[in-house]
Amino acid sequence: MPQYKLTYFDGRGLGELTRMTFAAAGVEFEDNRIKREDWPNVKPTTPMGQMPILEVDGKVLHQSKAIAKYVAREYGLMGSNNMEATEIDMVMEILSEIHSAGIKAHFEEDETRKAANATKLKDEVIPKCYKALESMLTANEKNGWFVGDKLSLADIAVCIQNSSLQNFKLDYSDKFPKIKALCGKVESNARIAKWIETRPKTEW
Amino acid sequence: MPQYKLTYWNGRGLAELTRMTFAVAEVDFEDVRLTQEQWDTMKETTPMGQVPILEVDDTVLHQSKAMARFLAREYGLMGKNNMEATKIEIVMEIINEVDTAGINVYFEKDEAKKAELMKKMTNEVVPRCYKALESMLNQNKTNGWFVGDKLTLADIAGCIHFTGAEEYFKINVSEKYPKLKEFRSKVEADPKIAKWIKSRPNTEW
Repeated sequence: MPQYKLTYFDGRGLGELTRMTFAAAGVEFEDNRIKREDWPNVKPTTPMGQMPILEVDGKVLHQSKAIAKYVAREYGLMGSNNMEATEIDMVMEILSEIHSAGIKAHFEEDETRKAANATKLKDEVIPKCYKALESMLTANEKNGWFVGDKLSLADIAVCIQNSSLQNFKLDYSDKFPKIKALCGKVESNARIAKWIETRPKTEW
Repeated sequence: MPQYKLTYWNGRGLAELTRMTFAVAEVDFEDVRLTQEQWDTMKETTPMGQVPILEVDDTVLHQSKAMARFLAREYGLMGKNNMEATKIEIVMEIINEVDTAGINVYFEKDEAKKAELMKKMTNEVVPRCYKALESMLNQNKTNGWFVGDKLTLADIAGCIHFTGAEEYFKINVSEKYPKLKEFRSKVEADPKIAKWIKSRPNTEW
C-alpha cells in the first residue's frame, strides 16, 4: 500500500471528494490540513500554487478531479469498464459546471454581476445539471446507483456537491427526489457514515 | 467497431479534441456540423441542451472532455497505467484553466471588465499554467511527450490549445517557453495530426 498524503485547507471544499473516496475505499491517508496563516509558506512548494495536492509515496499529484479519479481507479470506484468510467467522468464534468457557476456567484465583487450570477446558478445551471443527473439515475434505476451496480465516485461526488449547495441554502431536494434518495443512500454507506461522523467539523 | 457520430457546430471549439483523437486513432466517425436551424430542432433531444454529443451505437455521451477520454481509453491514448492516465488528466485540467480564462475574456461584453480579465489571463493564469506544463515536460524524461513514451490525449489537447491561444489571443509560446515551443513543433509534425489539420474543414474558430 502506498503512503498517501492529502494536503488542503482545513475545510471540505475541493479536498473532500478525495478524502471521502479514501474513506469509502477503506484506505488510510494522512489528512494534512493547512491553516490560512500557514498557506503563504506552503504555496510556493506546490506545482501551481494551489491545493489540494496528493502525494503518493512522495510523487505529487494535483488538480482535485484528477486526484479523486486516481484514487477511485486504484480502488475499484471508477466503474467496471470504459463506458462506466465515462459515465462517472460525465457526472464529474456536470458537477464542475455547477461548481464554476457557484464560484462566480459567490466570489464576484460587483454587486450587480453577483446578483446576475446567483440568478443564473439558481434558475439555469442547477436545474439543467440536476435534470441531467436525475436522467442518469432513472436510466440506472434497477441498480440504484449512478453507474453500474455499486457505489462509485459519481455517487460520492454528487452527494458532496448536494450537501455543499444545501450549505448555501440551495436545496433542490423536493424537485429532484432521485438525487435526494441517492445522497441518503451514499450517506448511509457504513464507511462513509463513519467518515462523516469522525471528520473534523468545519464551516465549509 | 461501433458506429460513431459526433455532433457539434461547424467549428473546432469543444469538439476538436474528439475529432483529432479519432484522427490519431485512425478510427472513422460521422462528423456532423450543425446549422442553427438544425440545432433549434434537435436541442431538446440532447441530454443537456448542449453540444458536442458523441453517439456510440445507441449510447449518447456528452461533456467534451469525458467523450475524448472515452475514445482515448478505447484506442490506447490514455497512458499505460493509472499514474499515466492521471498525469494526462492533470495536463488537461491545467489547459482547461487557461481555456476557461480565455472563454471568460472572449464572451465578456463590458469593455473594462474584458480588459481586466485579459490582463489577469496574460499576467497570471498563463504564466502559472505554462510553467506547470513545462514542468511536466521536464519531468517526463523520454522523448518530448507530456506523458509516457508516445503521443497521448494530453499531447492532442496541448496541440489544440496552443493553436487556439495564438489564434485568438496572440499568445505565442516561442519566446518565453522554449520547452512548449519544442513540444508544439513536435506534436504538429506527427503525421496523423498533420494529416487531420490539413484535411479538416477550414473554419473561423
